[in-house]
Formats: sequence, C-alpha cells, structure tokens
Amino acid sequence: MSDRHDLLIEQLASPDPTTRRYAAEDLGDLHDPCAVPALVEAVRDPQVAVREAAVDALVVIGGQAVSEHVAPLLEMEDVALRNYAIEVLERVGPESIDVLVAACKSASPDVRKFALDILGKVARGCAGRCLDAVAALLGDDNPNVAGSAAEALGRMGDSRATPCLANHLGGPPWVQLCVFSALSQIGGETALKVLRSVEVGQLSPYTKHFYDSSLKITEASVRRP
Amino acid sequence: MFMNDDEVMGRIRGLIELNTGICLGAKKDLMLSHRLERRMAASGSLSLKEYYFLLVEKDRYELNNLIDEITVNETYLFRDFPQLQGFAEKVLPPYLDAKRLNRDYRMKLWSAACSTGEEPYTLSIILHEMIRDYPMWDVGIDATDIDRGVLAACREGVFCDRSMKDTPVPYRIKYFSKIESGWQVDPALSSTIKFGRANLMDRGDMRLRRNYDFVFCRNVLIYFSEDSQRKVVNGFYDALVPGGYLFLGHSESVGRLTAAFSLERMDKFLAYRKPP
Repeated sequence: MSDRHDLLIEQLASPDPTTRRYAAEDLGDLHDPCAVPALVEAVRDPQVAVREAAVDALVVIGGQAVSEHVAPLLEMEDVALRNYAIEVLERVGPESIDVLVAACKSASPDVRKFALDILGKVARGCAGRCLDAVAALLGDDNPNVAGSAAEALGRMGDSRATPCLANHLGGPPWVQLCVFSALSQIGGETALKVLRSVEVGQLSPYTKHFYDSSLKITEASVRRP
Repeated sequence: MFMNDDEVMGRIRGLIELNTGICLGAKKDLMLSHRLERRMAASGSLSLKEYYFLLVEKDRYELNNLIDEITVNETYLFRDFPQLQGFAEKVLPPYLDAKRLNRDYRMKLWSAACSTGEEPYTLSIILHEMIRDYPMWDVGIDATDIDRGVLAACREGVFCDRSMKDTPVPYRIKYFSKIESGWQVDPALSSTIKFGRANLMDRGDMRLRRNYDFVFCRNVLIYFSEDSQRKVVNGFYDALVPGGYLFLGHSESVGRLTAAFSLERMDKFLAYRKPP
C-alpha cells in the first residue's frame, strides 16, 4: 500500500470533518479496493457530509468488493445506514447482483425485500443472473417480500419470468396486484395469455381494477409492432 | 445596402435593446454570436445579414425567439429582491451579533459564477448598509466566474440601465455615478470585492476556497447535471464555515443532492445552513 493511501486512511480519523471528507474523496479517486473497509467505516461518521463523501467514494471504486462490504449494512437497525447501503448497491449497478442474490436468502424479510428492490433496478438487461433467486421469493411467506419479487421481475422485463409469475396468480391480494403489474411490464403474447386465464369473478373490486389496467397495458404491448 | 458583419451585429444589438432594454455591449459579442448561430440555423438563414432582415421585416416571431435565447444569462443588480431582503434583514443581523459576541470581525462572502458582477456589487451594498459598525470589520467578497471575459467587465464596474432596473433609487444615488456608458460603481464598493476565475467543477480550485460565511450561487446549478450539481454543492459545503449559509436560486435546491445542510425557511425563501 502506498504512503498516500496510508495517509488518507489516517486522515479519515482526523478530528477535522473537512479533512475526513477530503480523505474520503481522494481515496475514491485512487480507485483502490484496499480502501473499501475504511470507507465503509466512514459511512458511520458522525458528520453527514463525511458519510456522503464516503458513499460517493465507494461508488467510484465500485465492483464486487464494495458490494460485499456494504451489503451487511442492509441488516442494520439504523435507517440512514441502510439507506446508504441501498444507494451504494444501486449505484454500483450489475456488479452488485451476486451479493444481492445471496442477500435474497437472508433470514431477515427486510433484507430480502431490500435486495429484491435493488435487483429490480440494477438487473435490467442481465436478469438471467438472478432470475431464479428472485422468482423463488414469489412464494415467500411474507407478502411484502413476495410482492417485491414480482415487482423486481416486472422491472427487469425479462419474458423468461412470465411462467414463474403465472404460478402465483392466486396469491394474497397484494401479491396478485404485483404479479398483474409485472406481467403488464413484461408484456407480450404469453403474458397476455396468462392474464386472460385469470378467473376475474374471484377478484375483489380493488384487485379487479388493477387487473383491468394491467390487461389493457398488456394488450397494447401486443398490438405494438 | 452593403453592411459588413460588425455593422449587422451592431444593428442587431440595437434592435434587442430597443425591444427589451437589454444592452449587449461589444464585450458580449461572443455570447451573442453563439446564440445568433443557433437561431440562424433554426430559421434557415444563410448569412447574418439575411437573418437581420428576417428580424426587421417579418413579424415578431423570430425576434421573440432571439430574445428568449438572449435573456437566459441576463442578470441585474438586486435580482430576486425578496431573497436578498431576507438575507439582509433576517439572516445577517443575528449572524453579525453572534460574531460580535465572539469578537470575530471577519466577514467573507463568495459570489460563485458572478457573471458580469451584478451580484457581488449588490452584496457589497447590502453589507455596507446592514453592518452598522462597518469600519470595525474586515469584509471581503470573492467574486468568481469561469469566463475570464466577464471578469474584466466585473472589475470595470459599469452597468447599463437594464442592470440597474431593480436598484433602489437611494442606493443608485449613494453608490453609483452616472457616466456616459452607464452607471459607475463607487470605488468603496469595489475595494471589498476580489474578482477571480474559478471553475466550480475543479476540485483543486474548490478546495482552495475556505472559511466563507455566505456563499451565493444563484441560477447556475440549473445548467448542471445532477452529478455535477452534487459535486458543486459539496464544494460549497466545504467552503463554508460551520454555521455558514448557502443561497441558491429560487428554482434550485440541494434536497436531492445532499442531506448535509439544514434547511432554514425565511418568509418566502429558503437558505441552506452548514450545521454549526
């Protein structure tokens, strides 16, 4: 490790917040994965400005090493810390996917939900890397997690998810809404066929409203050349 | 009728001034040229002269298009008067009192992206008016812009009627002299202002700027991308002393960029404060 690196790591503990902030920024510029643990620690700094500089630096460094070090923050009780972790993982992008797939197996429903929400944003275009893990959570006991799984599949827009969604048309009402919406986002003939197979008479008026709008959007997607 | 391009430019400047009161001196020729090029392309004019005749012979449609292009960067003294009034009457007095208590008689402001100098001179007037024990204080205003061309105009301190339109008459009388080319600022105002070039996107440049009590950067961020806005706002945060204030344009906000500032609402405007 260089003298510069060591000096900047030392400066992250300076009593002067501006020095700490500059150190975080400069560590980001070095693109040095060795700085990641110290920057993750700086995300807990008492000064918001230093925390934000550490978040930006982690994003600049990027890569799986950053995702691996940041993912445990998703489990924290401190909401701000969790939000910083979500921000970093989202901004790091597809390189976070493997870590997020692992987080889908967390015992905490909150962590599973956060992981799904982030995957929905970062895995568009590379859904194959996480499709199975996300689809598996369509059957999660927690309806918020199952709903997020459907939302994530919808955002990814990969038609390979359509059969998985079709298997969960009869879930709790919240999950149903999310499944209808996901099918409409994916669109295409198969999604339309799945939606048309729904027994509409069984739906509550509220769910029926969502079903109708999802069907309309999916029909339009099929009509589009 | 033969006219060279310089003459045509002069006529176009006259036309704009006639229709809007905006006086575009020769110093702004480069800016005007860029905007004229855009409008000429949009209107299908093949030469500056052809475009000029389009402006004078057709209806106002094209003239209005040109005016829209021109007014984007136009500024004037005491722009956004309510915000400045809030700064002068609500923010400044308690801030000064706190400094007096600490026997700290230094006051440092930064007018970032000062364009042709209207903002720093306005701030200088406000400080002269609001600091009752002014001679006790070491007041400095750093006025910066990325454009070296406008800085020369800033140092000259001469403003046209359009720039002076919102300047209260007592201040005109007290701080300006009428000269042939416009209004010349009193040297007492100029002496507190240091003009220089700064690129808000240059981290090294930004880090040199420290210990400001107030930073003004109004109607500039709107031209930046969100990522650049974040960098610039972070730079302002670092440039401020703890407890210092950042003032942005009324349509600008740091809300999406950082949570480091605390928001202070003063009547109809917002100020962003670095936590003390």
